Amino acid sequence: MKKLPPVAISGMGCLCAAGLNVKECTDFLFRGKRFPAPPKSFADCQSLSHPVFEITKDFFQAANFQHKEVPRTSALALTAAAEAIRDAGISRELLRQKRVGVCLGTNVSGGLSGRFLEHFRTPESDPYILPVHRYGGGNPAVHIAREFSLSGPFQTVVNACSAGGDAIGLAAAWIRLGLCDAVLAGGADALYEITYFGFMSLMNSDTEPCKPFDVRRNGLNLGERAAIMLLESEEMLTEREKSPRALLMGYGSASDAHHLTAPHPDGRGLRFAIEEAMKSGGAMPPDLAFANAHGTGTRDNDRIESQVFADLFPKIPFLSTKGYTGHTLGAAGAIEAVFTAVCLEQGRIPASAGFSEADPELPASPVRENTKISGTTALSDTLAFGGNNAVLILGAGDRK
Amino acid sequence: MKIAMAGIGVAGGFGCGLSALRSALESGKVLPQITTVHSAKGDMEVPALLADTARISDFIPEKALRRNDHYTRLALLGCFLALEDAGLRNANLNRMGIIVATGLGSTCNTLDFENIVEGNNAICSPTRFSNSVHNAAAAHISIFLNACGPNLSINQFDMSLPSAIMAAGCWLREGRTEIVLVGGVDEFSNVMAYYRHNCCARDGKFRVPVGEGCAFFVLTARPELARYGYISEAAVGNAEKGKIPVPDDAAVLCERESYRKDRKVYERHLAKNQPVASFSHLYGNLPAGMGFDLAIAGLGFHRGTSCLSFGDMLRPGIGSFPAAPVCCLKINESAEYGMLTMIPAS
Repeated sequence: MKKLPPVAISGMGCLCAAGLNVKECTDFLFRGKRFPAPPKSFADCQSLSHPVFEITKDFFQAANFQHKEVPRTSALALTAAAEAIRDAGISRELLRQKRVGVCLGTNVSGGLSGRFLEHFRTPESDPYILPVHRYGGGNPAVHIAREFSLSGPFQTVVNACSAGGDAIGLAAAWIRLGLCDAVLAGGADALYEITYFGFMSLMNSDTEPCKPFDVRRNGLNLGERAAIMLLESEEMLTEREKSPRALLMGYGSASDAHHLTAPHPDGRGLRFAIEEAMKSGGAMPPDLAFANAHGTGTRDNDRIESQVFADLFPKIPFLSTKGYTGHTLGAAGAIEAVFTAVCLEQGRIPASAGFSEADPELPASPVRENTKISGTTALSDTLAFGGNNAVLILGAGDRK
Repeated sequence: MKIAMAGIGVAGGFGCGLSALRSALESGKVLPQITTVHSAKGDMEVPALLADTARISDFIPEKALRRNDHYTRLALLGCFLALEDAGLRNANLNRMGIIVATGLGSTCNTLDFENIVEGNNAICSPTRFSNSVHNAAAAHISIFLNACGPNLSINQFDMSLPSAIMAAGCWLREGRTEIVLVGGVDEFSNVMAYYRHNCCARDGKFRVPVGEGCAFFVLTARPELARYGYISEAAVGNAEKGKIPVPDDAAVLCERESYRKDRKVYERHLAKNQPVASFSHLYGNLPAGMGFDLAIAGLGFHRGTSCLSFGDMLRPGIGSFPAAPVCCLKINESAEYGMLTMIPAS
């Protein structure tokens, strides 16, 4: 894998339980508080003892959008996309004139599910005809493309928990290879009872607030969120006389080829993905200011990441933000990329919420406190169900 | 960069493998099975082109497949057939890339799991849940092939396959891998059968049965492996925002129902005398159906014959076939399009 040119990130948007925009979310992280609670959106279900990080505020300003009747995941994605576009200072008119694509990761909105059938069912309609028709009529990527009248490619990546990171990595290729002038890339996933009960069935879900990398860690908490980055070609950025807010320097993707629900015991796929990301980004381990771990709080995930980080980056501080936001599946890689970029801007990383006592079996532990960092490059990784691993190398921008 | 097509693996209502697809092309028809779909309105009989995955046991011991559902078996079958066809069955595939495109995902498993959840969430099966996650098929493929390269699952309705081929092209052009195993898969489900049957029967346009199947391809940047020709362009976008880059001299393959329904939209992007043909009567109506058209285009180039001679001609035309490009095209009701163009190897 050769070094590839970096791609400019000219705007970012996100929302999650920690806040409804990038500033609110990142400010929240540094305050060190968190408020997981039993889910409200499917409160009629049984067994709600597992806390989640749910967005309880009314976040979707439908009046600002042409597409008002969309499923929750699309509403999350549209909200984050609108913020990213505002942050980049691009008008809707310019977006229409350029070849702009959409590349999004999701779980909830990938594939036909009962949630969609239920969402679009009306008392008057046939139980399946209208719901299936509406399902086929759009997903978050399509809804963004239609909302902003975009002409470029649109794609939905359903790589489980690494989908958001993979979507951003793929979008960068669209820019480098000249397929697009700009791409709205990221991920979105609303809270969903199926994954809630699914993770319970796998016994991977904690009944308390999650504790990534802690000796008492006992699983993840689910969350919901969306995060979108606007990736932009150098030509378009120059034409607009703008500077990048951050840089996407490298991306690596690899599979464990091991097990559907357990990571490879040596982190084989993660090591491959890190190697590819570092090579494509032209980065060496000493270049990294910090690493933003996947850090779900499950026994296996944290053990593998700790081992790989200890082997490859023994002196690099790392953190997990899942303690603040929960695990948001298809959006996780994207929002953690946003957090990574903001931490580079601010020269600091937040304490890893939920981590208090190191696990003697883990060779490396995350930071306990808000920590100053120096450097302009950082790594953000996601490990997924099915053995997918996605790694992004982000660089600081020079936006004034 | 042109992407060389080195192998094809297909299974569908026409049978399993390229020989079955050739036979279907030559006979011009595949008889659907009549399936009973249970619905709230009572049972209904629906013709369907269903795929048999029995041949997967030629590649993987049945015991190892005991937890894999029909959707994953379909995907695995397509992959192994494509690798066998490319002569790579026993090759070291450690860094091969894998991309699975699906319009609907593991629908039966997902809906079954949801029914269990609604009924009594205390007995949720972790196996059911695991296999309902949308990248389960791609994960199983990587596990059975010990392929640790980049791995992607794409779900973009009818545009899933062209999206996946686009992604494969990106990986090859950026040098992330030398070989990509990429394809589309969709399975029959009661919900979709009910939907298709009711919608199409109601407006009198029901011509093509509901289908299921898989079409996988071994793609590489190495020209010496271009047994079936090259994919010269893969694109997804909006047909109202400019001209779709269909080569003027190409034969166009598309889904019959879509073309008949939105003929005027298609026509805006076609040249005068550009022929349009359909093969969807051979594989049925399914979101990943463009994969079969791509396989048929590749087969035509491989055999030096024009695929048009076997097609259901929707629009007569002229051209220098089989030397001319073949363009697989889909435009949906919202004017979003997916397109794949193939050219011969020489």
